[in-house]
Amino acid sequence: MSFSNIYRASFYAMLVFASLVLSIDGTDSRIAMLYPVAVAAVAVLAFVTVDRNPAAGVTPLLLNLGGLASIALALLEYYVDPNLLLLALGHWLIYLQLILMLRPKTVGEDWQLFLLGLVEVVVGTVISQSDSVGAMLFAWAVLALWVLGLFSLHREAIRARGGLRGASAAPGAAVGEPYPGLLNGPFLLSALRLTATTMALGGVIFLAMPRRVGMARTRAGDVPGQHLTGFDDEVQLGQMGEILENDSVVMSVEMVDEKGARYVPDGEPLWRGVTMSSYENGRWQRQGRSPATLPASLPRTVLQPRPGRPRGVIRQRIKLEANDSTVMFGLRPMIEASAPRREPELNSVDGTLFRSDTRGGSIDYEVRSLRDSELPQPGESAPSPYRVRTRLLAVPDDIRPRLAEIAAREVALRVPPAERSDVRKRAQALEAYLLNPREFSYTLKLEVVDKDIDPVLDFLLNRKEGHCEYFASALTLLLRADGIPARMVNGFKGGDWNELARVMNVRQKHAHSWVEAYLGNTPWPERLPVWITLDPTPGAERDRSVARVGGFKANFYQITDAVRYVWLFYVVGYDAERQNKLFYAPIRALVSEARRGFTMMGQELEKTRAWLRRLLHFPDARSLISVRGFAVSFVVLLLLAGLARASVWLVRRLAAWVRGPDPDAVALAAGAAHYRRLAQLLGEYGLERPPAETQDEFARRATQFLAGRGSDAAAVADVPRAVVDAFYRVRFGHLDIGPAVLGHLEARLDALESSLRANQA
Amino acid sequence: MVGRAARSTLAVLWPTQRQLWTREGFLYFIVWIVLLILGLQQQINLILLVSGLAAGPVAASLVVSRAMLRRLRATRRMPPYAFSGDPFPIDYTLENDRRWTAALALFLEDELAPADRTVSGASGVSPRVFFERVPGRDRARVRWTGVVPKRGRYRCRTMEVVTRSPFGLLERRVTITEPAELVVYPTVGQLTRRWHLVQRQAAETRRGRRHDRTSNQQEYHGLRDYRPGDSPRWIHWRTSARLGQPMVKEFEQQNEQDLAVLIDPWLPRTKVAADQREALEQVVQFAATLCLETCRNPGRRLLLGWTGATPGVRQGPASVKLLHELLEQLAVLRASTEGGLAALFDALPPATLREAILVVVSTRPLNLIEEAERSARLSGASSRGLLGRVLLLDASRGDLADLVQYTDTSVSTALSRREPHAAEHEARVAAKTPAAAVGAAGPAPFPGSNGRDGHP
Repeated sequence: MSFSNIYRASFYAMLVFASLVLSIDGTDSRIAMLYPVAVAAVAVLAFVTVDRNPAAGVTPLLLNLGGLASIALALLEYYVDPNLLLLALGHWLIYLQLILMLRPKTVGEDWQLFLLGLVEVVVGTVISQSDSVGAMLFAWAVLALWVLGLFSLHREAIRARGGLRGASAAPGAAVGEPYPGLLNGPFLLSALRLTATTMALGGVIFLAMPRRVGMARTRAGDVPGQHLTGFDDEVQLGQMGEILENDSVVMSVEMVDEKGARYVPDGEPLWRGVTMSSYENGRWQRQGRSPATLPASLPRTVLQPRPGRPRGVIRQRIKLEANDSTVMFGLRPMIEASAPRREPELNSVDGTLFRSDTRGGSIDYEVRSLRDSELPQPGESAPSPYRVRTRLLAVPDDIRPRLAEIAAREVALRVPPAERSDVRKRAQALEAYLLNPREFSYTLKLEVVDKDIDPVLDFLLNRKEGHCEYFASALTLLLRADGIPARMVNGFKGGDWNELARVMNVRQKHAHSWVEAYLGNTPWPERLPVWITLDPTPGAERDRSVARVGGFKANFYQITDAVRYVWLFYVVGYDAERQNKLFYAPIRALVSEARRGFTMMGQELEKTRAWLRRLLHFPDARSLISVRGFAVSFVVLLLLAGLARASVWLVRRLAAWVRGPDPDAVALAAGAAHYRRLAQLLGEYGLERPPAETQDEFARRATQFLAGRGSDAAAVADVPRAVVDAFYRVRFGHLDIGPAVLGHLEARLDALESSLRANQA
Repeated sequence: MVGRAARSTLAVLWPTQRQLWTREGFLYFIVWIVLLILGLQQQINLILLVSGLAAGPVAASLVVSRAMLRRLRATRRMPPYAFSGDPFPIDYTLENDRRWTAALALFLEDELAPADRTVSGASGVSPRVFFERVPGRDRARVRWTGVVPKRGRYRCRTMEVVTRSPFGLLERRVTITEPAELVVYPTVGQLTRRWHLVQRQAAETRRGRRHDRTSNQQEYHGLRDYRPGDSPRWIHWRTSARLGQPMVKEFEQQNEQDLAVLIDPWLPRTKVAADQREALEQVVQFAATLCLETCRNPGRRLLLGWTGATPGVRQGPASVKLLHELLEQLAVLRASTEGGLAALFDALPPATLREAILVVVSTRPLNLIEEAERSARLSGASSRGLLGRVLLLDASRGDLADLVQYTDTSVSTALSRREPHAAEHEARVAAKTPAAAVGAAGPAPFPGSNGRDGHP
């Protein structure tokens, strides 16, 4: 494949990837992926037509008309949906690109196309910052570097032919196809090395660029995110089964302790999302929402350490992928939540986090939670008796008797009579009932046994298997039937822990429902509601079910999630804090370490000086006559002798350097170069001149040697004689050899070399 | 020694590599700045990432272009002399000592600058060649062919190897010190029949006054038609009678009498007209042609003298060596605003004054009698004798117009024909190395060559 074809094909591939950066996340638009396809199709068309025959290119008139049409199309797109202004702009760039691709290409046109591709990429990165855009961006960057390199060679070849402005033709430029035989192993290897170097340098520059304090901005994308089933205001029982079989990432969480060290959770953390309080005919409804802010100072109850419970804080840096829900997740109890743009709000009714709208694509926020999950949630309001009665204890009348019967039976079975007044014990007894593997099992298959009764009752009485939502619903209603206020919580349990990145990737399959039972309030004046968390879902069976989701690709999550982590936290979410930690803190540490090292060296130097001073101190001449005096004198004399030798060597070197090369030597080298080349060449084939042999004898022997190596070598058998003659002329005759003869000799030596190589092959 | 030390010190202190922005690189930098400002202002990391990646090629260019020029050796080979106006080849060789990596798209720029621009108003030449690809452990040779500039001494001090690798955004130039010198001889032509006629007329005049011992040395060559201006003494009466038309004898110039070419390169101190400069060049070219024609036949003594504040003389038996000396002198001959022929007469050897034929070529009208009278070395009798052997040519009057014919054929080839001894040994060695392809890519010239290969 010729250089021009490689260059042009690479150029078009780069343009296709630029359009992919713009279109890869266009999930809202059915025609989004048509743009890269169109670019690829036009590239093929241009490659076989206009790039081979420039006369087949688009005329300036058609070019102008096409430009006008592209503006009209982009405006039309904007008027159809004014929210997609950037996307319309990006598409306009693609239209221009398509038109330009059909033009005969000059260097200027190539630069325009390159620039258009770059702007497309910039627009694409502004619109979406997903990892798929990242992958396309990486591919584009690699290709762009490759193309820039080839483009440079292309321009230089044109410049050498005098085809660029201000350039005149230079001898040496190929008349036909430039750079024949360019694409070989060494070239590809050096291109790979160059690409890696350039990317690494670019990466370092990116990391070193100044960042403002606070999280990096993730721009409000035009593209809506995924739907989170189970986090709507109203949830149909069993609906969560859909999300449990989905493998896409909901959020990535980096956890650190209060000292900034990475925190590895002991078990599976429960990421609280929404709470459900009202149940009717298999449907749960959310509790009301009352925005509040987390208190600036923590209540005394929360601050008091409790014996046997973990202490400290967990900071969760969460990258929540774009979704259509206002829910935000965090570990209970949360004491602080922050985000660079819109601060998360606390729902004081149930102590969950939420945001005001779903625009803005993915969101970065940080939550600080106490490690003791049983502590009350600061900022959460204690439920009023009315709410307790109407919401937290509400059970549909048609199922209440059966549920109450089951609850009473199980409590009686598991709690001694003396302890039945203890709400916590009763609640845990009901949780244990559902966790009993002989009674209930976990499944994602939903089969209704009795359609006439409530699904929860059907689960408890007939089916006895289901997923977390059934278990949680059943426990909530059983608790309520037993007179314990309770609510169901939808969120996520655990996640895929990535050992490489030490980050947790929470996927949709990790969605979970559990139960919180209300135990009362903390003492006045704080009066914070005290809830205990109950998880009736069989953990081991659920874990097996979760592990099955994802299929083959789940085997590579350790790698893909690590890459994703780097992308999310060190590219998209790279902020001043991370920059400081990654970049400046090590430099500061290094400088500080170096300073300490220099101080130590200074101290050691001072000690050595003092020691030397003591060693060399001789109060009088008589003190020199001693073992110490002898040793010191010996060493000093030794050093002086070494110094003198070094000085002589240095002076000689300096003198030789100042004198420069011996002109006679140069002349001799010039005259003998051919002979040396001949000797080296023949030496490679075992014919060496012993010291006792003259060059003339050597030439004779070489002639015989060549004459005996076949007809090809015999044709160049006269070369040694000619070279030695020339050598004698220069070396002993002090005569000149003209340029023409030198040229002859060189050519003959070339012929000899190729003949010997061919012979050997 | 001191000069060398100073040059060495300067070479150490002065950087041999320079890096410049190319036009495309400058525009690329502007685009990068826009991206950077946009990214920093918006604090969108992906724009900053694109901006960082876009900065990568610039940063890599700083490092990689240096590597591209590493372990490369460039050498130049050019002849030590050339004739003005002739096609002139310079061979440039680039040797890539790297193991694998090829040297790609390299320009080699050279500068052939006149040592003294006042000699002939000469301007320099800037050869530039392109090395498309030199594979690792290989070499390539490219020949630049240009037209030799005006006469004078030219110097090449340094060459620059230029690369825009790897992205064409920055240009790195490495300066290689490789001094070389080229002497551009004046343009030479061929003496016309008119010159021979003029010379014969002068000789005839001379013979009319005294017996010319050299006339016997003219060798009968043949007969030709009588032309107006031919001396009746040369008419071959017998043949003319037989044919019925006048025929004259033609002699080949076998004159062994010494020849002195005296040049008066005078130009006014101020307000020099273009035709005066042109006259000076004609004088120099005529003298060069005359020297070359004279040296074709060895055995005769030839002298070249020139007027000026310090008149100069070069002389010797006609030979290739002398010819090169004289041509080199003519190449660097400068116009003179002072001095005259009288001072030059004083500088001439007595033998020349006594018996050589003197061809005086001047850019101004000269009164030979006055000049002879002013000369301290010429008495009345010797002055008359001398004036009888002088042929005075005034270029400003157009005396030289039809004495020399300039052809398009390369003069250097003509010179090589006239240098049998010099060409002999080359031919002998070349005969032993037949079928050589000169100019094809082949081995590099000798390392450390000072540009005059074969002239150590």
